[in-house]
Order: sequence, then structure tokens, then C-alpha cells
Amino acid sequence: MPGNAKSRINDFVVKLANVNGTGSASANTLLMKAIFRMGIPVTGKNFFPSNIQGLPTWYEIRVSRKGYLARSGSVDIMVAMNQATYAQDLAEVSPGGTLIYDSTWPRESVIARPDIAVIGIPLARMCNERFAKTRVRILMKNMAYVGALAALIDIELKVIEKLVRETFASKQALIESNMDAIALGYDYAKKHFACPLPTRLKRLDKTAGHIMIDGNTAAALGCVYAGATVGAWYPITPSTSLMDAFRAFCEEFRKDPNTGERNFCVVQAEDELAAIGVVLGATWNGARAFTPTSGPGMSLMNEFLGFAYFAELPAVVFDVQRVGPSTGMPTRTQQGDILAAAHASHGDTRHVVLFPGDPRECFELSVAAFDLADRLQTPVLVLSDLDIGMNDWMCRELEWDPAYRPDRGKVLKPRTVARLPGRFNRYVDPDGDGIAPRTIPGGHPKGSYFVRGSGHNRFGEYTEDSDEYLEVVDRLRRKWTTAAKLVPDPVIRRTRKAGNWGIVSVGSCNPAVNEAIDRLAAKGIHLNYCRVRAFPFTRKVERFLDQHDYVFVVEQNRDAQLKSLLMLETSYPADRMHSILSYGGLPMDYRCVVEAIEEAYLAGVAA
Amino acid sequence: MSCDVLEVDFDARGAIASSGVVDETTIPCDDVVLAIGQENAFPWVERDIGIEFDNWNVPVVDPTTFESTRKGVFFGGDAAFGPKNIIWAVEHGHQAAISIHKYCQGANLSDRLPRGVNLTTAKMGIHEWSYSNDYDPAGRRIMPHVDLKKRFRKLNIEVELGFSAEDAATEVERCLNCDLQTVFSAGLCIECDACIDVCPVDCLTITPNGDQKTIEANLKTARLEPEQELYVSGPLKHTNRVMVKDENLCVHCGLCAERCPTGAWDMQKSTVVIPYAIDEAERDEQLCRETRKAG
Ligand SMILES: Cc1cc2nc3c(=O)[nH]c(=O)nc-3n(C[C@H](O)[C@H](O)[C@H](O)COP(=O)(O)OP(=O)(O)OC[C@H]3O[C@@H](n4cnc5c(N)ncnc54)[C@H](O)[C@@H]3O)c2cc1C
Ligand code: SF4
Ligand code: SF4
Repeated sequence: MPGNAKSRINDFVVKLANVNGTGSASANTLLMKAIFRMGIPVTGKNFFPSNIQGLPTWYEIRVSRKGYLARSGSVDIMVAMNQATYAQDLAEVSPGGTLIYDSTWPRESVIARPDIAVIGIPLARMCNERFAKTRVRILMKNMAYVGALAALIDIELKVIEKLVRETFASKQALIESNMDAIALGYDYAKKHFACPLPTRLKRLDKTAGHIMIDGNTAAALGCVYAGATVGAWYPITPSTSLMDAFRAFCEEFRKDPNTGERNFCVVQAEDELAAIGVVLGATWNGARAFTPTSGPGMSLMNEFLGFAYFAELPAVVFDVQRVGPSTGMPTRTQQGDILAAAHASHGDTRHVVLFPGDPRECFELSVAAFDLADRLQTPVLVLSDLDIGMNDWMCRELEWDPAYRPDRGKVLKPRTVARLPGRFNRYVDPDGDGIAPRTIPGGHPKGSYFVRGSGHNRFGEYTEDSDEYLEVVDRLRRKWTTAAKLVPDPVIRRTRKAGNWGIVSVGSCNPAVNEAIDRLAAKGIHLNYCRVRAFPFTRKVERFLDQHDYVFVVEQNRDAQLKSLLMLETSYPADRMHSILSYGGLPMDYRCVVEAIEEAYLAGVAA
Repeated sequence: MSCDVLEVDFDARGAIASSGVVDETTIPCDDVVLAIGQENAFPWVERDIGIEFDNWNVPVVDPTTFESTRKGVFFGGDAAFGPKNIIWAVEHGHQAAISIHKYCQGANLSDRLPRGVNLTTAKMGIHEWSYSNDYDPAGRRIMPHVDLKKRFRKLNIEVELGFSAEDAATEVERCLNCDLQTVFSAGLCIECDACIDVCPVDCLTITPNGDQKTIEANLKTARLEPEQELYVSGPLKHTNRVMVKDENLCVHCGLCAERCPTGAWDMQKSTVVIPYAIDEAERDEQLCRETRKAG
């Protein structure tokens, strides 16, 4: 076999090319989890079509003993299970790599490349002979390639078996057929090929203290921990699984064990505008409420977001970003909603936006979002994206401080309202932080007031008077200054050798940027790194910028939206910011960062 | 080329009794290749060793065992039943080999393994098949030949020059895959009509079950070959109707199977199983092992 001379242990990429709707996702997740349970850092990226069945789908598993989680941009082992994409999949394999395909229809003449090894395994034939039902055959073919890979790259069978048992705990028959299918692939590979391949796994202990979790599940768990009881939504990829997870957690944790009564409420509204309307009604009434959506849903919510900003109602909105504009590519990832979120709705409106960088932060920032929304009495938008939201990431175990108490902000208790000397003034700020105490309806009659999106004065009364209007909107600007002190600081990574070049980035770019920094360091280029986690930008962001002569702003959109916000909101000169943009819809790979910075470095050195 | 025109009389068994030249004719040609004169003749077989010959002076041979009337003497090829072709000669060889094996084992020559057809599904995935089912309607590739003049100058030249790689690939894609049978499983059908709708020759019909006449009256396309039996499935589970297929019309395009959401129509590769001497030998060995174990 060509190219098999060099041994690669725990550092390679397996890509699986499948047909959507054939049940390959569970086989692929099983593979990834098995590698994780062998103590080897691993990451899995799912590239799926916006389609129920029939279109091509890929799953990319990167094994990295060093714990790198970004896409590497290359493929060492391709499992080509989709005849329709053979040519593309063949072309993608790195020289010296391996391609595995279903040789039930032998295609040596089509699938051939002198610089890679091609392994044919008659998966369909074996499954057709072994299983009677069409659907089962198709499903089991996936498990058969899991078995073949187990032999070829040395995945421990007992780990796989344990996972199969856990997955199908209640269905003994399924455990048996899945294990049968795995054995078919495993035995065939053992019998016909030199197993394992030089590119293979070896047990490590680098996953202790870590879990595999996707950002939507983690965010949903954050909602539960933060005490959210109302979720309203309109389903939209890639945010749907957030509400699915929230509902599942609530069914488990928010049901009265004695009466079975649900202490939560999930409303599927007729559209996104209605969904945020439900949320605002709930938060006005004192509940913690949220809505998960994506870009198109955000567009629809704009009107109510402006209303909530001006009427000062807390709300938490998760925007799991996908590729825009318009309907865009619903199942591809991007960070294209940064500006739209920061300035959602008309007029002088600015919103607090949080940017989690991985699922663990989805959990943490989701809790923070509810506290900030209550404290600042304003919508807080959590911007994750499809990559974080729907892919399983290896992260440190989630932690929880049992001493946590929700920060409900300035809420007047009915008793306090009753004892007020004069009338209750909804929009009067007593202490200069721009935040006026609010009441919860139904507490005390004295605390009642009108909620309105039209011009109002400090008492909440309708006004068209300039001075009264100015008083309210200028206070809102003071509140913005307060927000900048309360929102999470950036995560800053400094290197001793670094000069005056820095990187500023956001969200799911993080693994690619971190890996790029290491790889650039190996080439003698050292940079500091600031990952922004919130808008408004805190002092630390501004200080990081000031400390560097030149910064690369890495983000996943065409129009350099983070850079635009930095230009708008900081005094850092625009000509010292250089954009590195990746916006094709696939999770970012580290190479684009390395290449751009190297190029700039060489140009800089030459100049 | 000038030829004599003969008048011939045949005797009772069909052999030429007498002939005489009655005319002469001339056929114009560029060249003439002489290809006459072969004869099945057995002058070297003694006629007193128990091998019987028939009217045509060819040996009397059993069509199943290929044994002559003398035990242990077998005939095959043109020598067995008169001139045929190479394919038959090969087949006769196979069959005679089985007989010879059995003869050596002292077994009954007529007790032969059955022939059969194996069907294996060609389905590899929801829309994936283990053969190229995308029929290419391109015209037939014309095989390039050596120029006629060259051929006559050098008679043992290879006439066919062979296809280019591209032509060969196109020609292969024209294959209708007639070895793939369209096989129905009544139990899986949900009567969605997708196959009925997609069949390009309208050879499928779902209809209430009944006698042959009623079924025939409901066919989407009238039959062209009334002799050929229709395929009529067992009752379909939702309505008790039946799936009917006129195999004579089916072009084995596989579209019904491609579209069927449940896999009720399946394309299955058929392999004709003809036992050879080696299969008989294996069976004997197995029998032997079993007897030994039992003994
Ligand atoms: C002009 C012509 C064109 C044909 N074209 C085709 C065609 O295109 N495709 C096709 O499939 N078929 C074709 N055939 C038929 C085909 O060639 C025969 O059916 C086939 O060759 C028969 O094979 P066989 O082994 O039975 O006999 P043969 O090939 O005739 O072999 C008999 C052998 O026995 C030898 N022999 C005879 N007597 C003795 C003896 N006393 N001792 C030892 N050896 C002896 C002979 O020399 C000969 O080698 C054609 C036949 C002819 C005459
Ligand atoms: S194989 Fe083609 S022609 Fe035959 S029944 Fe199916 S669709 Fe009709
Ligand atoms: S397509 Fe399949 S399920 Fe539908 S009617 Fe035809 S055989 Fe039945």
C-alpha cells in the first residue's frame, strides 16, 4: 500500500461521507465518543444538508493528542459511503492517506489514486446477507464501518460495546444487531488487511475532567440553572435543539414529583415575533424567560427587541448563528449577526451581546445572560453559532457554585412599594447607574405603571416633550456605561516572547486561533490574543488594543463585523486592524489564520 | 464465381439419394473464402465395440449423461449431436466431466445436482445500488475494423481494432442490466403508487384481485404477449389488492425500486447456478465425511 510508511498515532482526521437520512449520525457520534473514552482528545464536526433524506452529509473527526479542537483542513482517512460524492471525497484525501469504501460494487477503476491506499469492504453485501429488513440493512451498514474502523485504527472493541449498550439500554435486540454489524466489519478488516494501519489510536489519559457536549444542550442547562421557567420559540435550525434540550431537562427537573405538575412553560409560538412577545410578557411578570432562534428569527424579532430596550424589559435571546443573508445556508455556520444583534431594531438602540467560545461558555454565559438581563432590565443576546451549538465539543466539566443566587436586579418588593413616601416612578434612577427600580405586576397596586414603546417620561407616562424624552434616553446611555462594567471580560492569552502584535477574535474562532498561535510560535512568530466575550466592550478590551501596534481581527463573516464594532466603539485606529475572515460556512480551520499572519509577518519584515 | 445448380432427391431418412446438374450460375465477387468440407466422420471407431451409430452415422448419445451406448465412453461437442457451436461444446464438456466423475465413483450418472437461480439484492443504501443503474441512451458504439483491402491482403489479421477507453465506457453504460430482476415483497408495500407512477413502460398495476380476465382488463397497458404469464403478487396489506407486473414489458430500468419508499420493489442480481464436476466432487466429499462421522 502506498503512503503507509509513516506511523501517525493519535493525530489525524477521519472524515465520513454519508447520505443524509441513513442513520449515519449515530454511528459517527459513537465513533467519536469511543475515541474520547479511550482518553484521546477528539472533536467531531457535522456538515449536514438542509434536507431530510438523500443529500450528501459529512462528519469530520479530528483526533489530536495535543487537544486541538479546530478543523485541521486535511483528511487522513476518508470513509466514502456515498457513491454520489466519490470523486470529491477521493480528491480530498491527503497524500499518504487511506480511503475506505463499500466494495459491494467494486470500483477499483473509479476510486484510485497512486498516492493513497484504497480499502474496499463489501459492507452492504455483508449486511444484506446478515439482516433481513431493508431499513435495518441500511442502518447496520453504518455500524459495520464502525467495526471496520475499530480494526483499522485500533478502537477498543470493549469501549464500543459499552457505548452500544448504553445507547440501546432498553432494547436488547438492537444491542445484538449493532454488535453483529460491528463484528462483520471488524472481522472482515482483520482478515483482509494489515490491521491496524500506521495511522491509528493509542489509549491516552488526556480526557479526564472533560466532557463532550454541544453548545445548545449546555445553554439549555444554563437556562435551567439560572432559573428560567418560560421558553417561547419558533423552531429554526440550528437553534431547535436548544429548546428540545430545555424541555427535556425540565421534564426531568421541573416537574413536581408528587403531583406531576409542570413548573415550566414552553410555548411554540406562530412565529419569532410572537415568541419574543411571549418572553417579554413573562419577564414583565417576573419570570425568567428566553427564546432561542437564529438570524432569520432575529430579523423578525427586531420590533420587539427595540420595544424591550425602550420599555426596559429583561429578556434572553439565544441567536445560534447560521449562514446569511436571508435564509442563507441553514445548516452552515457563520458569525454574521454581530452587528445586527448589537443594533437590533430602529432608533438609538444598542443591546448587550455575549459571545460564548465553546459549549462550556454557553452554559456559563447563559446564566450570566439572565442575571445581566434582570440587572440591566434589557434584552441580552447570546450569540453562539451552529458550530458551537450543534457539534459536540470536548470541554472541561461544567462547574456550578451552589451558593449562586440569581441577581434579579432592582426589583421593588410589594412591601417596599407600599412604604414609598410618594408615587412609584418607574423610570427614575436613584443612584446614577442608569437603572431604575421596577415592580412586578400583581405585587402592590401602587407599583402599577404603563409599559410602552412610545415616548415616555420618567414616570412612564406618554410624552412628546423633548426634555422629558431626553432625560429617559440619556439615562439609557448611562445604563450602557454600567453594562460595560458588568459584562464578562475578554479572555486574554499572553506570551512572554510576544511583541506588539495581537489577535482579537470571538466565539467559535477560538480553537483555530489558539492552534494558530502555537503553530506560529513554532515558526518564531509570537502573538498575544484577546477573545472578546461581550458587547459593550469592557475596559480590558480597549487596554489590549492600546498595548498593541497592530492587531489581527479574526472572525467568521464577510464584512468584518467585529472589527466594525471595534472601530465604532473604541478609539483604536482602524488602519492598525487587519481582518482575517472565514465565512464559507464550514467551521474555521487554523490554517487560514496561520497563513494570513505569516504573510503579513513576511511583508512586515521585508518592509 | 460460377456454380452448378443441382437437383437433388432425398431418400426416406433424408439423405441425398440422387442428384444431377440442371443449370449453371455466376455470382460476382471480389474474393472467395473457401469454408466447406467439414464433416462429422467416425471411420476410426470400430463398429463392433458396443458403440451404436444412428442413421447419420453419428454415435447415439444420452442427452443428460453424454454417455454412448457403451458404458464409460462419452461424447461431447460436434461429435455428440452433430455440428453446434463452441458454447455447446464447452457445456457438453462440463456435463460429460460430471458423468465421468460419477462413473469413476460408481455412482448413478443420472442423479445430478439441480440447477437454480440465485437472487441477491443489489441495494446498498437508500438510493445506492451495486451496479450502474443510470441507463445511457447513447447510440451503439461502432467497432472499428481493419480496412477490407488490408484484410484480404493478410488473411490472419485481427479484424476488430477494439474500442477506445472512452467508447468502451459508453458502451458499458448502455447495458440494460437484464441480469437484475425486479423483485416484489408484497408485505412491504404501502400502496403509495410511486412505482406505478414512475414506470416508463406502464407495466405495473395495482388492482383488486380477481380472475385472470378481470385483472387483464385493469392493466395500465394492454398485453403484447398473451402467452407470457403475468406476475400477480399476494394481497397487499392495506387494501387486499394485488400488484401486477407484465414482465414482457419491463425494461429492468430499476426506477420502481429507486423510488419505492419501503424497499418493496427491489433490484436483485440473478445468478444462474449450473453445477460442475467440482461441485459434484465437493458433494461427494461432504457425504463421505458425514458417513465417516456417522460410522
Ligand atoms: C466454418 C465454421 C465456422 C464456425 N464458426 C463458429 C463461430 O463463429 N462460433 C461458434 O461458436 N462456433 C462456430 N463453429 C462451430 C464450432 O467450430 C464447433 O462447434 C466446435 O469447434 C466444436 O468443437 P469440438 O471440440 O466438438 O470439435 P472440433 O473443434 O472439431 O475438434 C475435434 C478434434 O478432434 C480431432 N480428431 C478427429 N479425428 C481424430 C482422431 N481419429 N484422432 C485424434 N483426433 C482426432 C480433430 O483434428 C479436431 O481437432 C463454426 C464451424 C465451422 C465449420
Ligand atoms: S424496472 Fe422499470 S420497467 Fe420494470 S417495472 Fe420497474 S420501473 Fe417498470
Ligand atoms: S412504490 Fe413501493 S410502496 Fe409504493 S406502491 Fe410501489 S411497491 Fe408499493
